[in-house]
Amino acid sequence: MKRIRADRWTGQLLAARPLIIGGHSSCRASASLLSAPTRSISSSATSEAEPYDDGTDHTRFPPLERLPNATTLPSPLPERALRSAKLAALHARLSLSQKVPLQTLARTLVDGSADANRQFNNTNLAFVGQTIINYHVTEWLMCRYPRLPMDILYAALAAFAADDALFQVAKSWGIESAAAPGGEVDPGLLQFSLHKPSTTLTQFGYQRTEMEYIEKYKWRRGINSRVMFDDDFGQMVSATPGSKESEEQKMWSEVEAGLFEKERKEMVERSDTEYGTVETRALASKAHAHFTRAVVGAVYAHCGREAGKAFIKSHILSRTLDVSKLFAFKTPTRELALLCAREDFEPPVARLLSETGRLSRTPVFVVGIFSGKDKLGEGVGPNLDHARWKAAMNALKSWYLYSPGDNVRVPSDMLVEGAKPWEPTYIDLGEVISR
Amino acid sequence: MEAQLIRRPAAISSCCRLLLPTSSSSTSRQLLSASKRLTISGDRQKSTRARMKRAMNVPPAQSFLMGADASAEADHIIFNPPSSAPSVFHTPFKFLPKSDPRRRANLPSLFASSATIQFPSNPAINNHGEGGKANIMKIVTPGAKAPLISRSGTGKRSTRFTNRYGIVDDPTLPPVVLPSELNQYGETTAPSYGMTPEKVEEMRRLRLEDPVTNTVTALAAQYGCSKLFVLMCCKSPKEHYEAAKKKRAEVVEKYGPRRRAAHEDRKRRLDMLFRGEL
Repeated sequence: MKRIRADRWTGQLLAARPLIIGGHSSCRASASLLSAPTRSISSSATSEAEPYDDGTDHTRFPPLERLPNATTLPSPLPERALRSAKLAALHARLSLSQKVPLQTLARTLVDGSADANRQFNNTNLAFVGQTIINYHVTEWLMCRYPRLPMDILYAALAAFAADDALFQVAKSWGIESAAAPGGEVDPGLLQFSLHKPSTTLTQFGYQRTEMEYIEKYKWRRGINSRVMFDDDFGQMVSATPGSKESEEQKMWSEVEAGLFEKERKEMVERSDTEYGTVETRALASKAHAHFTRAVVGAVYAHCGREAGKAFIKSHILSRTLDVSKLFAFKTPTRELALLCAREDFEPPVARLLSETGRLSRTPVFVVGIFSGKDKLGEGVGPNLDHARWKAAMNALKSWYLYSPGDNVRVPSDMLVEGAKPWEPTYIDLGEVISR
Repeated sequence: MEAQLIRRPAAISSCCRLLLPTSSSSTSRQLLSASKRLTISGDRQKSTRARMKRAMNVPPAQSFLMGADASAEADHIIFNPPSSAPSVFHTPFKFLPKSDPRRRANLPSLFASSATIQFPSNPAINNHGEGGKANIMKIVTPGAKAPLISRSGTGKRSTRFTNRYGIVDDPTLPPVVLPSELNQYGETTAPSYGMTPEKVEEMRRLRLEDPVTNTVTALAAQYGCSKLFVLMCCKSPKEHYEAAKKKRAEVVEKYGPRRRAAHEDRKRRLDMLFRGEL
């Protein structure tokens, strides 16, 4: 009788037998006919269904579970979404409607940097989501705080709907990212590349002709021009590659771009070995934000306007923001005097309400700002000037932060059938002082 | 001497009694007024336990005592909040727009004399009697030559009165805080209202002719205005300006570590104040 000598077996016998799933490439192939020509599918790679080879010696380290099939696809196949536990868990965790299919949810997790094909990445959904989020947040801020100055409104909008805030939202949903994108990755992981910059979403706004000078000489951008030219958050629209430039400008930008490019290359080289450089953090933040926007876009596309609005309300507008912390003043007393003159109030006067320890090392003065007999604001400080400025700032804040109530109606409430007749919201006169 | 007195409030009374008959200078009087104030507020303990206990036996707030009345069975609300800074989200009545329902609901306050706040128990007002000086006036800062807060007038409580800057004031309201009138050298920084275009022209001419003699301080004293006003309307010759700037930079360069740190901290604190971080 012959002994079975397992130690002489080849690695092929010891490795787990890959499952062969019939006809899985058909859907992808038909989709690729519609897609842009940039996408190339290696049919041999998908049809042969070889185990994915990452250089591990499977003889010594036999895999514990079935290895994914080798593929050259940049992102996982849509049909794999149905078998991903992570994706199903995410769908359940977000309490998404059954109308949102798992395939769409899987698509929201593929960033533009992972898969350049717009039919398989989330760029289009993220664009829809971005416009809807910005619309609802701006509308709510307008009705809730009708007197906010424009720059504070921009800051408040960014605090709700810019990349950093939406990154936090995605993190709170428990999103994990894949180490590197690829067709073999679990579709429930966020996929973005650390080597390529993410695709930029289409933005509203114009590119300024004087942008180079603004950056170089720190020119002032007035609030009117920011409203006219800049994007939703009042930030300058960055340069497009085909823009016209003067010779000097070109030289400068080339030098700067060279420096920047060198730094970026170093960062990218280090990104695989190091965890959390500035570059990788920025890329991760952007990819997560695009994912959040894409989910909103998916909810809107599959469930409709009201469901999309409810989703934004419960996940984005429900976050706490202390708007009073966004203010910064340069000449608060002058601004308050101008405000009182504009509104026909008596000129503001600072009055000492109480004080303690004037002769001590740590005195405290409580100063109130009065217009006629009405107190407009109150401030505490270690000397009379500080207390007076603080009181003026508080008075201005209480003007700017006037709110008609907690549950204000917004114009989009009228889109529901059977809505109560619209009462006009309060519209403020405008800025007190140009910033 | 002063510093020691302030640090040891218990020793103040005996010290001052010794000082009182011998010295008649203004500094000792200032000292005395300061020390009196300290003894009033610095009385923390009594000589015996019984007195101490009695002194500590503070009656509860008025709203807690309401229940002891005949209508004890009736429901009532105890409203006794701790003192805190007012929130900026509570819009003052004056700032409410005409259409706001809160304004309509609170119509009586529109006709009340003081709409937002009453000051019945402010000692600065209650003690404001004949002579027209609030008791805050009595506090004299040792370094300053004049009080920071001024309250002067006819002294009749019923009439409106003007302070020395011509601001018509109401005696029922707390005293006015003007922008710091005196800087650390005792020079005035208060706004002036008696300027004419001719005076300004003359001031400019003088400054251009001889900026060394006609310094900003000298011009401010001559025309009775603040130094800021002189700086706003006059321009010195460029050489003089450059030289002064260089001199100033040299002075700052010579600052020691302590003074430099204090200088930078003061600037940082001001920036933080305007950003609302203080």
